[in-house]
Amino acid sequence: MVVLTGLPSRRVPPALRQRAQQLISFGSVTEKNVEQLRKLNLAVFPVRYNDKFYQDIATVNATAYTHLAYFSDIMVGAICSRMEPLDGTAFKVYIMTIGVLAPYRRLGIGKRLLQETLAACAEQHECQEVYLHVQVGNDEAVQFYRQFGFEVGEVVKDYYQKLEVTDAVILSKKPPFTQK
Amino acid sequence: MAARDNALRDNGLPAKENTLFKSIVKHYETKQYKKGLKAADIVLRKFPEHGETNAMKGLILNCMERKAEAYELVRKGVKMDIKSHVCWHVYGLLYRSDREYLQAIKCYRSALRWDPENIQILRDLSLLQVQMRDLDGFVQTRQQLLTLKPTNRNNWFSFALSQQLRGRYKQALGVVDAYEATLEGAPENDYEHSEMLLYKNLLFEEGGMLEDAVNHLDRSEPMLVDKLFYHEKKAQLLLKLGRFEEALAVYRKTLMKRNAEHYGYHAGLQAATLKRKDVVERWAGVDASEEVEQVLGPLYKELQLEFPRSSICKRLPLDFARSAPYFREVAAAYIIPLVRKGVPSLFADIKPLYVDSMKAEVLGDLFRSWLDQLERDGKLSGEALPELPSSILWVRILYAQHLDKMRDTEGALAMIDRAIEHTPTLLDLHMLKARIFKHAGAFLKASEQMEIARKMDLADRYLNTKSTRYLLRANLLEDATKTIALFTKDGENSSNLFDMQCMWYELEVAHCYLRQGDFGRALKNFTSVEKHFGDIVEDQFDFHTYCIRKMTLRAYVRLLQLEDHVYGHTFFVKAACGIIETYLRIADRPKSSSAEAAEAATDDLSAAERKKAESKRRKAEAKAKAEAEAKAKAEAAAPAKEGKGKKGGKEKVADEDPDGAALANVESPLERATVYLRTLQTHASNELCTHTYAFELYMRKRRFLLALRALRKAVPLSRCGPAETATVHRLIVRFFAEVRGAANLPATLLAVIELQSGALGLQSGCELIAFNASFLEQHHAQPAAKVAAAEMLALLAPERKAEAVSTIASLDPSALTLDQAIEALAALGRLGDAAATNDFKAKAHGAFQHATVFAP
Ligand SMILES: CC(C)(COP(=O)(O)OP(=O)(O)OC[C@H]1O[C@@H](n2cnc3c(N)ncnc32)[C@H](O)[C@@H]1OP(=O)(O)O)[C@@H](O)C(=O)NCCC(=O)NCCS
Repeated sequence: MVVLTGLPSRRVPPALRQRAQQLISFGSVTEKNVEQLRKLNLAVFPVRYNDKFYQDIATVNATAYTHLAYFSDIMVGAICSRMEPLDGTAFKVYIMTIGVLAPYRRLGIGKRLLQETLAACAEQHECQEVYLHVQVGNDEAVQFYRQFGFEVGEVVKDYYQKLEVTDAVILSKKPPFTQK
Repeated sequence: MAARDNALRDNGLPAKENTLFKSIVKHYETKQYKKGLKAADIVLRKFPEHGETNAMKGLILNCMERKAEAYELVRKGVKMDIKSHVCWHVYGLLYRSDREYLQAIKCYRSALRWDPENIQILRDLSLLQVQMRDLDGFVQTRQQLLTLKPTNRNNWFSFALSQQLRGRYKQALGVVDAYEATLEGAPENDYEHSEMLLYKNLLFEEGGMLEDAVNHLDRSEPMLVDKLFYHEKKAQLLLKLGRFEEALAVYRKTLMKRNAEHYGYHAGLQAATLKRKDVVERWAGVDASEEVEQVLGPLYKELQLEFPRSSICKRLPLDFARSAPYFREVAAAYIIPLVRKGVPSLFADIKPLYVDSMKAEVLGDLFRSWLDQLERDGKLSGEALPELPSSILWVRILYAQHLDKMRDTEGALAMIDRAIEHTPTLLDLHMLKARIFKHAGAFLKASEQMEIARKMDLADRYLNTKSTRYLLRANLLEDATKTIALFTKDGENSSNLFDMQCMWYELEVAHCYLRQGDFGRALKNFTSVEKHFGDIVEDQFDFHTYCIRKMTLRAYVRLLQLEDHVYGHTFFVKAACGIIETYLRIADRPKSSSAEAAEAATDDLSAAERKKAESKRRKAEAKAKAEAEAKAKAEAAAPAKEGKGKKGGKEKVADEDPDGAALANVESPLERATVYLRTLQTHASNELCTHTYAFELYMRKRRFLLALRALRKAVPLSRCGPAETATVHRLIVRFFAEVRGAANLPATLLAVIELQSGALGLQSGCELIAFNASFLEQHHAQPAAKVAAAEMLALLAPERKAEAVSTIASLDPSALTLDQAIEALAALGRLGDAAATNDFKAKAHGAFQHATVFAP
């Protein structure tokens, strides 16, 4: 379940963005730090995820597709995905959330998070597709994903029950996941 | 090792038994106690009256934890063969194993009477002498050993060292010289030779022969292994000699280039530049004069250019700055890069600067203006680029801590909440919030915040420790036990914490029990700390021989010096004060039910909190009980482990007094407390608490002259702050009120006391009421003094109690610190005026919203 809210449209000067790059690093979720992820998602999404969501993320081997982003050693972003088995050994990857704390947006963190996940997919030959839901009308989100070669798919009626706009559109990407 | 040289003396056994006897000794030395016991029994079957065999059997039993039998047998052995050095030696070893060193020394001396040149016994004796700091005896014994065996290098240096410890540096140097004269050719071991030279150099220095020390150091330089030390020592000596130019050259040209991040080098460099022999490691408050700023300012400008990566070169100017504009400049230059970097410990680093109110003001100003600029357009003035998003976060963090330091709790909380909104994932923010609540006297809220932080990183031991401490402050003992157990080896079994000498924890737990009126468990934990100090002193033993053998003489001397002062360590002082406090409360306790005491103890929690804590505790207790039972069962099922303790295979003995009931239930608590007081008087005489407790103890024992002496020691220490001044004033008034009011004290005693009253600021014959009034007049601006004077007025003139109450009640809590307000409330409570107490509490609650003491 993915929703795009309140993206700052303010662009960051390239020189600053440059300076920020060396302060960005990545890590993975464990049962020791999962509470920080909860605090992050709570701040970024209007939807509250339950305990099971976090337990699964911290324990199941899906951690390969979940990445945390740190800015100067502070956790400021995360992408959480899960594997969905298809026939045989094949599977799809579903992006449940991607979020960056508001003050830290437009520094390239979201982009690098998505790249981490796509790179992990590219290493698995059995991975057939990466997909996600976006709220209908969220053109910026669509913009964001299109940069990575995601394609707009069908509309799902009443996907978001508790939000004002309830319909979602599916975005998906097939291999190759990374451009060489 | 006990009786090796026994063969030299006819011990009266026939050949066969004699062989057996020798095997007993061997078995003892190789720790094969069962075999040794068997052999001893065979000999004793035939010769039950053989003293040395009896003694050896006792010694073996001692190692098998059969103490009573051991003493009995050894004493029997000594009686049967009173002229046997073996028996006496064994007797000494027995006492030594029980740390009864003075007794052991006596036994060794008796042994030496029958075998004066027994090297083994002399050596054992010398160990005890240095351990007990019987320095004259130590010198003597070492001299004897050197004379007996001059071929052994250890004997030379032990003797030199014994002379050094007596302060006879010339003699010590003579010994080292004499030893050096015996050396031929190149040294066998470069390191040991180098250490010997440095030891000799230390003797010159400690003996005040500084010129000789410098010359000797230069002469030795080619042979020294530790070249860096050579430069450091040389610079120090030159400084001490006032040869500033030369010292400056070493610091600036050599040491600085090696390591520009060394506080000691900076201190030396500054002293040499300022041409003063006293080295100031960190300038604090107003120590630095304007001249210091003028001389050091330019120096540090140069250093910053030369060492652009050094953080100390930027930090130290903040210490010696005297003028506001200069401070503003250097503070901004130091702090801004660290704000950009995000350094959690930054405020702790600059906090000492707050003793200077000018600096506090400038810092607050800087933080406020940075915040304004960043909130306006994301830039710091003068910068082209906006700041990265973390900069504003760290400025808010700094500013929140600043506001907290200035006791603006609400401002600090608002600031930290804005930071949490900005970056909710930064756990440091919750730690800070916890700290703000703690400073505001809200221990439960503080602990809740610390728990939030802890849960955000379960792998962080530091957070776990902090959270444990905060839980204990909030009297949530069970939760604290569970939390600390997450990081200990054996889970909730506290023996691991004891073995790790985890003293901060034991102290906090002890205070927690004390607050709850559980005196036994409080004493249990306080005395654990005392035991650790006993062990630390005991641990020296291993070094007496090891250091000499390895020629690490300088480190050894430092160790001995450290051990000499170990009982002055804050942890020991806290533990000893805690023990004395507990025994005082036991002594003062009216023989009432203990439930009442426990209730009174939770007084500083609000009613709601108390309920919460109570239900939490009950639940936890039930659970803990079930767990303990399960564990006991499991342990009973498991086979007993072979004793593999570090000291001679001692098995752990079960604790016979786990709840400290026996500790609390003593015949005379005041006598018990006095034992600890004596240690404090010897080792912590510069702590005010030593003398206030001495006063309390001696007053209860009606030892008025000793109480008077405590007061005289307290007076100079009372000048360090208004709270201390007020404390000591109370004691003086109480003392004279009691003494002058006492019936049938000897006239001479009274005369002596009155004679000394001047030293306490009280003119002989002066009325106490007048004395109290003049104290108030002198300190009328100090709330602590007001409270003390009012309470003492009520003591001296009970009919003026109403006046005393109204003086305290009229204090405005918002003009007080939290501690002062708490003290005022407590004083009103002691005066027994319930209405005034409640009124004041309500007023104080307005001023200190979060403080649980004032919560309705
Ligand atoms: C979507 C999100 C994760 C992007 O994170 P980010 O670190 O700011 O993204 P990046 O800096 O990597 O942006 C990469 C590119 O995406 C596009 N983009 C991102 N935010 C945008 C916005 N508000 N408007 C237009 N384009 C945007 C831009 O092309 C941007 O490159 P640019 O800055 O060079 O123009 C972040 O905005 C967020 O957490 N939003 C709220 C949570 C959410 O809705 N998540 C689901 C999104 S489908």
